[in-house]
Amino acid sequence: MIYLLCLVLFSLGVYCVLRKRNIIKIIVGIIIIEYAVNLFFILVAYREKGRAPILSSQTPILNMVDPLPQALVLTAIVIGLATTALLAAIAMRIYEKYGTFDITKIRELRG
Amino acid sequence: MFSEQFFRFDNLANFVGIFVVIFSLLIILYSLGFMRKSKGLIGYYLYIILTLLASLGAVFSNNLILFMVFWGILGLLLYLLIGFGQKERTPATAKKTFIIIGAADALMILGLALLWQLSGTLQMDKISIALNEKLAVWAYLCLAVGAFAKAGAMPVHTWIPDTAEDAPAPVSAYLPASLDKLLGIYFLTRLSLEMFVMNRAMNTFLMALGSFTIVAAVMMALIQHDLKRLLGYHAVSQVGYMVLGIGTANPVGIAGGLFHMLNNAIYKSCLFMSGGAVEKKTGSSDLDQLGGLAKVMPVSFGAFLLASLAISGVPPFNGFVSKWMVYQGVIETAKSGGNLWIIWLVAALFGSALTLASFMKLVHAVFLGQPSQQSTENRVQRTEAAPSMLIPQVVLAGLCVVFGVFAYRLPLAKFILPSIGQGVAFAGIWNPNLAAALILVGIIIGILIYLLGTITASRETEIFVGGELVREHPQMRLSGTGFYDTIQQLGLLKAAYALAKRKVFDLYDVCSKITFGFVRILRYLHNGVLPTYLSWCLLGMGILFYILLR
Repeated sequence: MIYLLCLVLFSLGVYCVLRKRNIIKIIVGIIIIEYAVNLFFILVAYREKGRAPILSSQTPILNMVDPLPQALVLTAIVIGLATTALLAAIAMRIYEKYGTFDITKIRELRG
Repeated sequence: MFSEQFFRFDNLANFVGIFVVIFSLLIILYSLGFMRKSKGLIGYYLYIILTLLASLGAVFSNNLILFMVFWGILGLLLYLLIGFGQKERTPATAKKTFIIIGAADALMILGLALLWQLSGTLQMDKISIALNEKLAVWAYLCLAVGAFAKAGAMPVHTWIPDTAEDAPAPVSAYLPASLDKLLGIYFLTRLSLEMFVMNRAMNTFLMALGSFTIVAAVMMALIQHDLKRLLGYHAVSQVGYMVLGIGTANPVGIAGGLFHMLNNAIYKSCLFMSGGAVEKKTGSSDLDQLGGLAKVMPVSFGAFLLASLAISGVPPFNGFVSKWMVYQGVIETAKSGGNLWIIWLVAALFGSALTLASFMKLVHAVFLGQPSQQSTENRVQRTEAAPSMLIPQVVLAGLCVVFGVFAYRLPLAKFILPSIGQGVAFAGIWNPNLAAALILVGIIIGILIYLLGTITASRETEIFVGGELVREHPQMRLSGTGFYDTIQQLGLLKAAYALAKRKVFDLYDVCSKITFGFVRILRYLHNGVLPTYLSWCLLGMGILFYILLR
């Protein structure tokens, strides 16, 4: 049931990317999609009453939360930061070149 | 490398190869004068020499793949060479040429694949296919379209008049007028005589195409107003005789077709060169702005006159001999039954007469008559062209006469007849020496009559029209351009000319309209808004997921 939350969040992001005209808003949409996916990974790895996956010689490896998606998501957050910065930089360049953030006014691809 | 498998040196290939080299040398000599002070000359001469090499490769290659490679390079070089023109429409013309030649090449590759399917080999001298099944007919047609596009026969000819008008004169004289004719007809000969065994229906088709090309192109030539464009239409019209000759499928006709190919290359190059010299001197090729150039450019005038007599088929020049042989070939086909040969013969004769008519107009408008207003204004620089431009013209005009008078001893015995490899029986009696003597006698009698007429009292005045001196009223000048305007007004022809003016018969134009109509639908989808494209991507992804994960 809780996974539906991810789906809602993801759809929200896609709607934002597809419908919004402002580039900044589109970037925000992309970030929302990213977080929806991250959340989904974390939720998949969650275990009822599990404990933190800390390896030590005293405690036996029992009832631990899967650590792999957590590591993955940590990396993904960092990469997401970099892509967001790149997107913002490109958005600024676009604004310098065309003088607008409205994506429907930049129609160089029109046939 | 030069093994039998890839290259072959038989009589036909040698004969075409020799003339490819001769024409290239003459054109290079001519270009030294014509292209002086133009830009990018290194590229120009590089392309000319590459064209020479590629043509030689195509002529001597025995493997069809190798042949196609050289053939494709020639198309590209043609595009590059046209680009040296200075006119406004030159890039469009170059593009048009490239598209037509490229499309024909694509069809040829298709034909090659069919040929491989049929015979299992791509070596020209090992292929011999009878045209009895559908696939063979398609293969023949696909390959023949390539030859037609190169030589300029009727459905795919439309690049030639445009190229002739917009490309520099040496390029027009080099590719559409001489080399492309040699190569196209060479390949058609190879196809029709060696690689395929022709049947009656295909021969009739070739002859119909040839006759139609002769008449239709010469009708278009009659009404042209541009010197080089008019010559371009004649370049199309003459291809008809070659196709007709090869279509007759008897030795006389084929020999005539091949000989006409050679003759056409000679006099058409000469005409383009003289036309180019005129254009270079006056700065225009519009017939309305030329006139009265015979006095200032006597050598060019002489060469032009000889070549135009040759192309019109006046004895004793070479054009007459080869046309005469083609006629004999057409008459010969009557032996195998059918009455269609009368139509072909009448079309060929009629075309020849119209050629003479349009050249009367051309010679009058360019060299005779009164000088036009524009050309009298800049009379200062009007002298004969540079020697390097005159020598090729004189050489070619000389060849016109030599190949006409000594037709049987020189070109036919040395080049044409060995190429065919079978005996040629001439139907009619034609003694060139006697004809030349008769013509000389006729000319002498004419001169005598003229002299006798002038001995009696006569008075020379200035030219006048309606009682007014032409010199004082330049607008009253009679140019040759209006000679055949009445033809355009004749009922059925009027409609045909109007359609031709709207380019309805131009295959390229029709195809481009269809393409743009189709593209308009796609263009509507391409609105340039990024989210729309994203939506399309998402939709496509959804469909893919549905199909793959179903």
